Amino acid sequence: MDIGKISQSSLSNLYFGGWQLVEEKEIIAQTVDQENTTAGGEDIIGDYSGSEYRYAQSFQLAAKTMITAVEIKQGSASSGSPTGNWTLRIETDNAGRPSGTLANANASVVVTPPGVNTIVKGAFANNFELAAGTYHLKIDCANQSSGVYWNIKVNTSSVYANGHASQSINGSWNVSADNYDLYFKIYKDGPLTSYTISGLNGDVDEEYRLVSRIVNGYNGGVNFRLRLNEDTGDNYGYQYLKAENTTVSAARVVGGEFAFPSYIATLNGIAFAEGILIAKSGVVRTLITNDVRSIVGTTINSVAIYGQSWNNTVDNITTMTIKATDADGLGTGTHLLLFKKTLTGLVATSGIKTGKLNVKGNINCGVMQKIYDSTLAAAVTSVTISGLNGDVDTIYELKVRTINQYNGTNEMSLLCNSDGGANYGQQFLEGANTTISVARYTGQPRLILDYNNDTAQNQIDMYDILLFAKSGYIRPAIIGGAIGISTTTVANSCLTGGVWNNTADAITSITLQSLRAGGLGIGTHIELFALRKKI
Amino acid sequence: MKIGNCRVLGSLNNVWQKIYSKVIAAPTYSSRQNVGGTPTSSGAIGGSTDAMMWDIAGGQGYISGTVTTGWAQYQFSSAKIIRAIDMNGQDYGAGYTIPASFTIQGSNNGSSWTTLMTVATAGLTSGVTKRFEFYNNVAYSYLRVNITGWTSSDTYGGVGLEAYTMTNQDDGPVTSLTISGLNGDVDQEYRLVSRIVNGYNGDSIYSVSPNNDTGTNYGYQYVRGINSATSAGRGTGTSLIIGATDGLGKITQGNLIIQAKSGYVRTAIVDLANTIATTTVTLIGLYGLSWNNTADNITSLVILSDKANGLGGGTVIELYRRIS
Repeated sequence: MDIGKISQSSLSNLYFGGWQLVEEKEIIAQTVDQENTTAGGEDIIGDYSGSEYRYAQSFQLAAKTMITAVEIKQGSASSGSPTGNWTLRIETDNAGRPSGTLANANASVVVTPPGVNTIVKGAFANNFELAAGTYHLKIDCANQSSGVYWNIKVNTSSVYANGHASQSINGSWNVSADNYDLYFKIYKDGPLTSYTISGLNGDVDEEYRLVSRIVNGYNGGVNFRLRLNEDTGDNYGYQYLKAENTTVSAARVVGGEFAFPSYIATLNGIAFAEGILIAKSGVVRTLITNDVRSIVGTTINSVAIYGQSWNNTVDNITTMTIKATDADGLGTGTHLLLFKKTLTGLVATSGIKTGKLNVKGNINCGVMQKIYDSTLAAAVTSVTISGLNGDVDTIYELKVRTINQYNGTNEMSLLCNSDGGANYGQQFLEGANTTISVARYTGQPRLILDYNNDTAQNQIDMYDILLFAKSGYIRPAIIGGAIGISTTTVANSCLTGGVWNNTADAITSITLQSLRAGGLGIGTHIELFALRKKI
Repeated sequence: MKIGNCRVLGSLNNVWQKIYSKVIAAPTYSSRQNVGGTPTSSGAIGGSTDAMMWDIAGGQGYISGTVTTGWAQYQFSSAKIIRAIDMNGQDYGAGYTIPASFTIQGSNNGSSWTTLMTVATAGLTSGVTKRFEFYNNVAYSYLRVNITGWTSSDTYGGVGLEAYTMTNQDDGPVTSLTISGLNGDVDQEYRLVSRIVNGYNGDSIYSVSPNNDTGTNYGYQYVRGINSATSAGRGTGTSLIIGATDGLGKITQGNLIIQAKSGYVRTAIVDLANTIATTTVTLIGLYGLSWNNTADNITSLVILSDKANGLGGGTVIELYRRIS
């Protein structure tokens, strides 16, 4: 059946037996979602004439929102010397009053009273999403001695359209503050310490593919980890092989998480990783990951491949948690993409049945769609794939088989947007016969794919390249290569981390090029896949 | 075209689509089958009987532990497809020993025997029952366990045995799987994702052979890490490697991409993690691979263990192709 294009909403599934994007999380800068900063009056929390007073403010979320912090302001005076901290809670709504129930298990933070006329912002230890609806920000404190209380900033007339203040006396909410509004801010988004993808069903999905570009939001070195089902026991193991500049190393580790990706050394440093997890229970779960880490400018600190295990044979995988070992390590710009293997059409039990689908246009259902396919009929020096939009597509997969047409040493490389400036870097991990070669290149005028190049005419290279294409941050790549192939000789196997040090420009073209003129010989085959998201 | 949930019963062009999936179920076994038949042996000693050798719950029997020609045999009341035995031996110290190695054989006449399993290292612990699983699709009237070695040379060789059929008989473990009906020239590329659970009691190497070509037509170059050691190597072989493990129940994962279109030597890249058990991953490697065949259209891929029944219960094999 020929059709034009396919577009699906976020709730739809295309059962075709392939990878489909089921979760995308891009961490954006923290902003205020709800607030009232008009506060000409004051009210109290604490003990007034032997009665305990507490305060709350209702607010509305228009859509599902990642809550990261709240803010209130202390008033101009206190009575006596109130003691203890404040607990800021977001509670669910009960007929216009706080219900006493946290809107989320993580929706509570303890802050120190900031002092008179001073704002205090409480950042939740673990951020959480709330659905659209009405909630209450409640200020709690320990019971005080008689007549001892804090003033807090409020407005004594209504200025916030989507809620109002509430006051409780000895635990009973009353209407006395219904026309007041608290000074408050509800913050959303911003850096996270961890992010949990829930609603998974590993026994049905069987496999997951996780792609992450992490921007370090912590001012220092951070390790990044992946947990399944929030299991924090020492039930994970991994074996890695790593190239860091000119040093190669390997190690075997047991711990409380997967490494994914392993490490970023500096604030705003970047790591890029891809992993395939065999999720079905019954045996120990296994994961293979490639990661490129601590990228700054054209310098890549290291590239590594990991084999990993989760020593749990029984539990269905329902959640994945990506976490940083330090606060806010998942910084603004972090982008997580989780694909699951969909059921085949023959196995699925819901949805419209179709036969063969020959889609002439885009397949906007969260799949990697081939958008370019070419086999060279004549030798050329370069091939440019144009008409791209990396900011929309987000990730590209480039699958290449090159035939070296040049009678001697040749090198294959990529350019983004035909940029030939010194804006590329690589970290190589290569095996050539019994020799391991590791090297770091910076400030290169091209993204070199092979460390030890083809050495003779008609040698074949195979590359499997994953490029994070969206602008805003430097663009990282993971490159697997089998290089210099002739009959049964494979000259090199290479894992390369690459980067294009350009944060601003949308990728509109990718060029595969040979160092030698006419070096891309007849039979060279190039395919480009782009992520087509649901719309 | 705006669509909701949709089941694509045919192919979907320009994406990776799964075209083959095999999950080898973990074996499940019957109650013991050695009841109602006739046990015999090379010679029960020490007051034991042949029947005691085939009743673990009741203890064990003894044959001479000073010779390596001892055997225990069971004649079933009707032929049975046996796929596993339990073995037990009590070593009480001086004068007693337990099996160190043995073979398992089947027969329908009690005189000509087919070897079903050879166990070079039994790994028995005194007093602990151990199961030995093997692939067999033939019903036999006789089952014989030949002891070929003891842990020590002593008078009393303790033997306790029970025999089982597999209740999910049509499933694994298997030695190979064939994915047929392919057309590499049209599909151009394949992605093979494998999680293999070793069904063999020892080292097993797993590989893929296009068109079942087992000639020395393959090349590899690897770089890998084993604990804190790193290494690289180049060689030739008879298939494309996708993993290895060193013991029963251990796991290997491989992510393989093959450039399948003919006209040139076929190339492949595989990431593999070998010999995984609990929290130990023994090896991680990146392999570049070649199949030195430029002419033949790939019509099948054979996933092969170099040891019998190496593709054990829990093995998952999935093949994706990319339709143009």
